[in-house]
Amino acid sequence: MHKQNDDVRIHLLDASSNTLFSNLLISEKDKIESLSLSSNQIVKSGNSRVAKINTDHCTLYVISSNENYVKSSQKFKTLVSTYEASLESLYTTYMQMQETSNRNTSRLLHNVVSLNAHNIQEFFSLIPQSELMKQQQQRQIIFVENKIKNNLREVAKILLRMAKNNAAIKSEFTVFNKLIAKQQNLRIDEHNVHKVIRTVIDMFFLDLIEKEIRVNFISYTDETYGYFDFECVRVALYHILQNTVKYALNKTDLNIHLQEDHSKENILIRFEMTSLRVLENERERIFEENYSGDLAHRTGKKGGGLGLYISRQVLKLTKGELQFYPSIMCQTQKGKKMLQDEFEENNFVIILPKKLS
Amino acid sequence: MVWDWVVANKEWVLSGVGVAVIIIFKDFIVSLIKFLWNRLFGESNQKSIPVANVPPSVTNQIIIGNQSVNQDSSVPTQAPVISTQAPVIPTQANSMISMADLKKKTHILFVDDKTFKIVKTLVDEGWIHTKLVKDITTLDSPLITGNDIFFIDIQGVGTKLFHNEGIGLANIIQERYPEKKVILYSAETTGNRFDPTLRKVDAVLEKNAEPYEFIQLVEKFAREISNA
Repeated sequence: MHKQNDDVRIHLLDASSNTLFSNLLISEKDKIESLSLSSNQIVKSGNSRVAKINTDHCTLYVISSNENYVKSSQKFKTLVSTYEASLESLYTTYMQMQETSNRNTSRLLHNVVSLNAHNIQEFFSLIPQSELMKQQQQRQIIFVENKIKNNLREVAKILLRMAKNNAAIKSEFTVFNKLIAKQQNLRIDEHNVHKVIRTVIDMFFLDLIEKEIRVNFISYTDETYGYFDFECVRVALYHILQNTVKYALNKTDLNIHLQEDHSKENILIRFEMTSLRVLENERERIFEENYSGDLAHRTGKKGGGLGLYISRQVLKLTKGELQFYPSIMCQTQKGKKMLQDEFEENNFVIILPKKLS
Repeated sequence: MVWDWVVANKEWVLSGVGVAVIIIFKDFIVSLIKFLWNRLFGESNQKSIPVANVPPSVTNQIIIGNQSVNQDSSVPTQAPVISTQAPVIPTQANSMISMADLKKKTHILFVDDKTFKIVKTLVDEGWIHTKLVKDITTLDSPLITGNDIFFIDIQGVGTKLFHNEGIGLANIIQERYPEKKVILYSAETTGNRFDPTLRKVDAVLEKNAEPYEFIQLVEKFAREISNA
């Protein structure tokens, strides 16, 4: 048996008669147009009833061919009045949802478009479009081949930068799917943590070379396996390394420690770096959405304040954590010599389960 | 207490052996001192990192050794990466057959209506029996019986036999040959995710997965098949 409401369809317009939502059949749309109802009018037309409700912000048509509603004008009136009573709040909710969804979609689009823009420019920086246009079809490969032969070093860098941009685009999709669209499709599986780190850090070598940051892997355990969703951890690693490239002091070391915790149930990936100081009252705030550190503001390196927030959220999905620990030994001789005022030895620690829970 | 011990054993401590021990456990001693220092003088509200106090077993330096990067492309410079070996090769409980052997005996088939370069990557990695076909059109095809691991694109394959394309194909392989491994992959992240078949297959992968993810699954499933 059909539920009555399955046979009720609505058509919602804003004040400028733009359709906001409609599930009408084409024949019903035609009917509404031909009827040209006045505000708050209810009519019976053929085998259906139609109502038009107006408020300050919107217009709603309600139409049904359900025989209960067609037979009894009172039942249809009651139905229409429930729509009428909730129309304004329905409209407000609809607009809010629309706005949130637009904001998320446009953030994704903005980031992906700009990363893709970089990829486009990388390619054409090597192979000028104006020259490419002049080539005949048969000559195209040879033309590109010659460009590559004459710029081997540059081609290598271009490829690496493109690979990094691709990785960044993938991170954007992961964040969108898992955090915003809530389609979490997690695949918790056993992974070699060292290998997983390499898949991400390899994309950053070029940036790290430019800053003359040396990377050291320090392993305290033979068991560098963990159980987690690869994509989630990858996104967190991506943002932490992006932060390192942005905020670490040139010519310092990035030490990546792989350790077990006391319980031996978790594996810890500790990124030890000399980077922009995080003030004491900011140690938790840096994980808040849209928060950028005070020093980042003062040094003009302020970002969107999303990287660490996103990292912590995606790690939570895969039962991991992200913690910040300031330096434990700034007082050492080595520390004093090395550290400039606004820099400090900082630790970002990713904690991942070693067992399937 | 520690001091008493040092005094009592001063000759030993100052001997070469003692120095060697100190050098060997340098990192451990430093971290112990750090730990004690922190306990005694550290700010009381400062969290300490919850790690087991174990000296590092392997230190592996990857880059860059203060080399300046040569911008002039005509002069070759050294590659910045020094070591690419993973520092730890963990022992898997059931790895009786070596990965090299598994690579030679595992047959992998991609079913995708468009070419997909991961096939070449897998072959280059040593999984020499990796092939791609555009579709499977009969259910008794040797393409099914002759392969162990299937990667099936959800869209555009199995169209002749099934209304739900790749999912239908995956489903039938799984039903008839439960010992074979079936992975569905798709560029679509939203559609079909409520299809119960998706939960029946061995894994679901996004099409934009990296080579690492494909290889990780192949290694895992090849091992599972050989242990079965």
